[in-house]
Amino acid sequence: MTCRQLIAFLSDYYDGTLPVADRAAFDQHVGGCLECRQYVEQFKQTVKMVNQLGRSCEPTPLPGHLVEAILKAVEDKK
Amino acid sequence: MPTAVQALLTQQIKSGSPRAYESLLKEYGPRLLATARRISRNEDDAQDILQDAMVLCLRNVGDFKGDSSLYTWLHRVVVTTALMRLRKSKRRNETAIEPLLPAYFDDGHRVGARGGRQWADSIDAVYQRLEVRELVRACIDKLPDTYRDVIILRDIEEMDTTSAAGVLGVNDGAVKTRLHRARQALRTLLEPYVASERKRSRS
Repeated sequence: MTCRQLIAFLSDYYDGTLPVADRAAFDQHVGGCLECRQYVEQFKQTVKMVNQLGRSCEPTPLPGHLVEAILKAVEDKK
Repeated sequence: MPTAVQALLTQQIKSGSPRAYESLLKEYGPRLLATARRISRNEDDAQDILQDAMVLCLRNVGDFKGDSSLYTWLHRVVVTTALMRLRKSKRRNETAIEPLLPAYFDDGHRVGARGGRQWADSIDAVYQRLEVRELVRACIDKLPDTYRDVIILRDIEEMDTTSAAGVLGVNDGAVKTRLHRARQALRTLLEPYVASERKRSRS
């Protein structure tokens, strides 16, 4: 497996959808290639940071005026 | 919400009960508004998005067949509404993504791999800072629209590939390809900032 092939597999590797045989070749390449190890780590950190954005914005109760506006709009359009 | 309660609520909504509408908004509204806020990043827009999406859902609740959870269905409508508004509010970015993807030598080695800088030791510590979150989001917004949308759906809203494909009107393969490219491009965009975080955290 070349560095290029490895990077092509990265999302599948990260998402757990890489077939077992490819996964073994992937792990073997990463074990012996410092540059790819670094790239894989940075790729994982990137996705992790994006995932954490998904945990931003704690749910809070809807403002009363918004509930009223939605209910009124639904009634109006009936 | 337990499945039986959800089924009852759905039935009541379908029969047009205002109390059921309120129950639905109380149960799911907070999470859905959080989704609208994450995508729009503007409180007024987020509330407008939720209103438009909920009115659409409540008027078309007959379309809900129960093959997903009620929340999944509502979430999908909110996400679709939010993306449509995002596309309208900004000048379309249809620039090529290729300059942000890795380049390779003929032998398959990555150009610029040697001498690459390491990123911060603990990304969690770095991420706690609000400015970093803003930076990550600003970099996502720099991606061409088709790539920005897919990363919002898959990596922020954590929709599965098929659901994201449904929202975007493309097949699963296109979602996977775009997501992979979007993640690589985002790594490129973040690199100048995150690599320098290490120096900063050590100073």
